[in-house]
Amino acid sequence: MDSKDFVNIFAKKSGLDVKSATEAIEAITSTITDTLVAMDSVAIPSFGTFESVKKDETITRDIATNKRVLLPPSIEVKFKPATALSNSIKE
Amino acid sequence: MNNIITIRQFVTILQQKGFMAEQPDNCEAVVFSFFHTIAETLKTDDIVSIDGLGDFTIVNRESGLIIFMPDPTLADVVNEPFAFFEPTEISEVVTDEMLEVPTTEMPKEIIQDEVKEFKAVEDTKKPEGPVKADPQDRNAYVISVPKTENSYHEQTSVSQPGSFTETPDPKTIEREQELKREQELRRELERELELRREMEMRREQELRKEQEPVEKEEDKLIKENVEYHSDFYPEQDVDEDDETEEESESTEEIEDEESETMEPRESTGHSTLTLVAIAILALAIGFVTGLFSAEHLFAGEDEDIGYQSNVAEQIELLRSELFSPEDTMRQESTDKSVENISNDSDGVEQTATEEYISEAMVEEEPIVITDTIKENYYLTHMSRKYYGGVMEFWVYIYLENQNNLGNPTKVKPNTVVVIPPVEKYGIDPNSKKSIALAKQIANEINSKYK
Repeated sequence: MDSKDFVNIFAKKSGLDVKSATEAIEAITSTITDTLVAMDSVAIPSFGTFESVKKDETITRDIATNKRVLLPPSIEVKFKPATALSNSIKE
Repeated sequence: MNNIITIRQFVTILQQKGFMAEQPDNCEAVVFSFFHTIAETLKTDDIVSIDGLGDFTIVNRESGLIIFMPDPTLADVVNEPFAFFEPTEISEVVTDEMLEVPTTEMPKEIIQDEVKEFKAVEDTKKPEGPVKADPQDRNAYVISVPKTENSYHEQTSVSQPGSFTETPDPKTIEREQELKREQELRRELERELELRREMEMRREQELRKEQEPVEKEEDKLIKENVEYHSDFYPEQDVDEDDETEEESESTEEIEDEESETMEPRESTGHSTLTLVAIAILALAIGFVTGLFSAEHLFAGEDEDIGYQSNVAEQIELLRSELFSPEDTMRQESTDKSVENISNDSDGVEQTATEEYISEAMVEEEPIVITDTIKENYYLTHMSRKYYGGVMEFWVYIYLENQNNLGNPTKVKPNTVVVIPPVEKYGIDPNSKKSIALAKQIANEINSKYK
């Protein structure tokens, strides 16, 4: 499901029009982004936790060229799904 | 940082941003609806992508494994602090060992050196063994330049006697040289003794010749005195003219003594002068030989003190032999005038010789400073101690004791070294040239042992 379909479904379920739903999604994502930039994590009950993790520089070997590559340090966004979400998608 | 934002806090942040300002009560419901929609959608679809947030992908529905791939915009914004880094290829030249993260700890050698220096400073503050450390000496070590000379001399006065007795004389060559010197000194002393004996024999013979006529003439002198008191001057003059020269010398002396209270007589002056001249000559010869022997004896003592006690005793015996005949000769002389004159002049000359000897001892006494290498107290520490706080001058201490030390980086504790005087190598802690020269010499020495 792409973003447009999701907006439509979200609009229907929340009782908002598409424009308001789009704005609401942008507001929520921007708030999550701000929280993650501040190296904080957002915990949503029965859904999961968004967090930002700092990763140190590492040396890996490129399999294609067989050369070692120094990967710089980075901050990555990770999502830990809640147990309720994992259970809900199980068949 | 590292805070967990709950859903209520999240909603309040949204409300502060003006989200759903018209319907603030619905704000929380909308947020819940948003995440609930995602969860519901994932039940039917494997992938849910939201612009600005990312993609939720179900990898394994049986295990309930979900992967979240952040939107590139979100990932870039979050990774902004490290955005300017790029993955780089590492060349083959660079080894894994080179890429190891260096430890922040200091190398052990540097730490040990610092600890050694600290201990060395503490050791100098403590009194060193039986030798009493002067307070000025401590100041000299800490404060350095101006008081070094004082401490230098103080150190000499304190360390000299002990250091000489402690030196074990490791080299046989030095011993041989010293033995040769002693042998030469003995020969010289023996020669002098022979000369003295010859002189002594001659004097005794002369004195015997003088004494014999004196004893014979004593009776005559009594008669002459009687005549003298009874105013027979011309007869006495005639008698004296008839006497031999030797006889006249001795009688005239006695008459001179007796006539001191009476009247001065011109005729006796000539003979007494000759006797005085002989006595002065004899004493002068004795004085010169005594000086000569004293010079050699004390020069020898300076070099050999504490080296062999037997040798010193032998030298003293020889000295006593050298000086004793003169004294005995003086005691044997019965002529009172000669004795008086000789005693007077001898007293003056003896004091003169003593002064000369004492001066010679003071002048020729070498100022030798020695020190002992200990653990955490090496040549550099000595250099700082004795040469105005500059450690570079250790090379001169090393050069002075080169035969005993060997490799300067592997000196052994308890090795006694001689600290050379400042003048010998032109050591000047205030001169950069002097320090630079010392460094150059140190490089040459170090290059020998590399």
